[in-house]
Amino acid sequence: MGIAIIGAGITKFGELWDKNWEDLVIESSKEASENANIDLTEIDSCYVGNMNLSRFEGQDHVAPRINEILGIKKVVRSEAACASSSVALKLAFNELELSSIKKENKIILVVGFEKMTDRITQNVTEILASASHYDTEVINGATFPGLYALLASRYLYETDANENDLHAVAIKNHKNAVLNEKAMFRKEINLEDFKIDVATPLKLLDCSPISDGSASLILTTEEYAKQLDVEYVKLECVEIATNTISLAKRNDLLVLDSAKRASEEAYKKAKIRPEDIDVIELHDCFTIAEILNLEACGFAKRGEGYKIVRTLEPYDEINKKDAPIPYIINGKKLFVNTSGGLKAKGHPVGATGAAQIVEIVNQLLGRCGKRNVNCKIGAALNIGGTGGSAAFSVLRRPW
Amino acid sequence: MVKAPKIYRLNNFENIFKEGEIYAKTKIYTSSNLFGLNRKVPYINALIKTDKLIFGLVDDDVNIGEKVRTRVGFIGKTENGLRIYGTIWEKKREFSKPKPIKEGEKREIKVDTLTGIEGYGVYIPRYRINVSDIGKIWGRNVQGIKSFPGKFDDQASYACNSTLNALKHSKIKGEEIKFIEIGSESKVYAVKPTASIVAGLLKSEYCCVCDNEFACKAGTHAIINGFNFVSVNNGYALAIGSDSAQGMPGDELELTAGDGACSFIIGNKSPIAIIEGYTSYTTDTPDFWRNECEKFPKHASRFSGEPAYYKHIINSAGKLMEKLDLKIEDIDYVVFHQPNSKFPRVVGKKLGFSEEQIEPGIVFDFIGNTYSACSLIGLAKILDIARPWQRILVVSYGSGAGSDAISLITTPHIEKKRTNIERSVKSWLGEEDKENLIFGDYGLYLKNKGII
Repeated sequence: MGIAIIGAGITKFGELWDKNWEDLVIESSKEASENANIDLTEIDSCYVGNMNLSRFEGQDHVAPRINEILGIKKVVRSEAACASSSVALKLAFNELELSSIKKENKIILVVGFEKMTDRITQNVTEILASASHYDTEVINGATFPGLYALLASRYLYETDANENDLHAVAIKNHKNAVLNEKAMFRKEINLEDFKIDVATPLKLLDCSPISDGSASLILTTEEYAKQLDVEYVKLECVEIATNTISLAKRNDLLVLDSAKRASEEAYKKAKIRPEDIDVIELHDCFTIAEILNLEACGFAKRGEGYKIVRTLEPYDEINKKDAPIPYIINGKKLFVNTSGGLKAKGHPVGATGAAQIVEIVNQLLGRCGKRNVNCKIGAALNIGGTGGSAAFSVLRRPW
Repeated sequence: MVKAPKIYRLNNFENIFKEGEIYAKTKIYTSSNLFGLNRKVPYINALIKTDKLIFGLVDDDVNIGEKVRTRVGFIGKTENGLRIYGTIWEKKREFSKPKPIKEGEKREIKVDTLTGIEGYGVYIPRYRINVSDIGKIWGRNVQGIKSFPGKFDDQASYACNSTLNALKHSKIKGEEIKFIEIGSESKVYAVKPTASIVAGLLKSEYCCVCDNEFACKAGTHAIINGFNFVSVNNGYALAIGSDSAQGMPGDELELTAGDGACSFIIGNKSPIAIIEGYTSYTTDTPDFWRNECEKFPKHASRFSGEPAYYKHIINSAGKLMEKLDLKIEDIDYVVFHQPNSKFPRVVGKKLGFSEEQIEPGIVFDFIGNTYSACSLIGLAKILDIARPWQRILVVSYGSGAGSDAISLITTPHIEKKRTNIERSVKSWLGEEDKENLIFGDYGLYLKNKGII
């Protein structure tokens, strides 16, 4: 017997002037509970993923405040930078595995959220930078775009990739976001729009935005899901791995080793190979991340991820299609970031991991409207920091 | 193992003696708010490949694969105003070195002690401004060149970097230094010594350190104190003159105030130049001053020449020559403080020195008046070209007012140690290796000086 996701809810991502973080948590949790057809009071425990509410909004001790607003009696908060809610999902997964052995019928809520836009950009940049090595990287001026730009600079130096290959990732993800009403940027972009430098070689449009948002998932055992008679998706596994926080301490700068190890472990647990995956949400906080993650997850060899991106060529025709465009790997289609990804859907860091799973659940259940693709196995890779943390989840349509 | 420098430990000089090549780099245009206003964007972060990968801040725009080396830089300021210093990487370049010189006439040494200069190091930022660019803004027709800071430079970083060069020249380890005195009138803290930052760099804890201030003569005063320390205690002393000289926008001083530092290591093991003696002359003359909490000095311009500069220099130099029984022809080179191009040449002539004795020590024409560092850099420039057994007279001047005169005589060690020098003073000044200089406009000057 496995673990089932019976509810998935997500707020609109973006600069949400009129909503505070509590509104967002309530909104996504309610949506998840409604499509699971349960009441929030029936939930046994809740795992919250949030990176830095204390610095964004001044509030620490998040769990009891969630208790106060959702009425759930057991709440745990997890933090792993941008992978915070994936770690929350892993904790929920563990609790359910245990309860399934004990033959208990537990229902667990996983909620991820972040409210980032109440701070000015420089403050947000500083807060986010705390997910890297503070005493060596941050003190010397590192920002997150800067750290990923270092990876990009090395990638472009070692391989035959060029800046347009990076930009193509963003063009594709923006295109997908147009089809997602919850996405932050529902606007097509083209190569000539990449003008503003953030950290060379990354342009502004290579970077994910600062966003507010929340995403929620309701999990239970597969057995209980059947009893409840609701549509569900099977969560085969959530595998997490960590690596050094400093870029300088990595054995190979261009291999996101935590993502590699998490995905390999997940493939083993789920008994699948990378080519079995139809749709995947890949952590694309910066365009270079999607390329490196394609390689880390086994879709391409080291330094050859850009060749997958080139299957989108010609890049100036990406926007001509009215549905998500897949990468073609060995003649097979792989849909990546149909939601728009972090790049265009938005990246409220604590919500991102859960939001990726929401997208895959909705894809597998055929709830994505125009952007729905034909799929049976979905996956999500969520990264914390520059790859210090990683979580890889495999989801399967049960029929 | 990551040995993390914590903010409360502030300054981190780990990796300071490393060289490497750029492995990955980025130029960051959108900065974080950490150290807020002190981040002068865009700045460059890189991973540098040495024996291991190191994350660092890079001064120049360098490409992947290019060689870089370290120096000390001012990285930023905490909310409470504490300044953070650390390792900055810069492109490794080839510079002209001092040339070997043939032996010549031997001067008779006046003392039987060995205490003198064991090594010296200069640091002058690469940035220069044509003074005419400043004059243009303020409606003056003036000519000349002066130095100004780069984005990671300040008085403390100058002191640290010139000291690193002095250590390389003398082949002395930092922890062997037991006395540090920095002369400066542009200290980075009103209260907290710059000398302790240098001591931290050298990892010398049982060390007697202090900053002093006496306008432009504080540097020679540090040499005198270092000389006295070594005479009593043996060991090594470090004397530094370092200034990011201040001049109010629009004021005459702005046309001359330059940036730079010079460090001398004083000892009695293998001196390249022995200190024969010194004299000081002081009167209460208010020609130039800066009040408490004011950013820029003021001056009573008509006092500057005759009753101030000329009188004090002539009296201190005259007294020392009398004390050591020296005649003009016993001296090979003379270095004066250089507040402008004219004064040192005029006072030299007044004392009877020839152009050949005065001109080699002129540094003003390349970098302006570096206040406490000025006469010290002049001395370093002479030491680059001096033969063994030549006599050098250094005469500083500090407003307020006083003058120190020091007589030195070179030894054969000067030639042996010259091979340790990686970059000549002429190269630092921009008299040679002109292609290394970066000429900035008045806007960049004001920004890097911290005025805007």
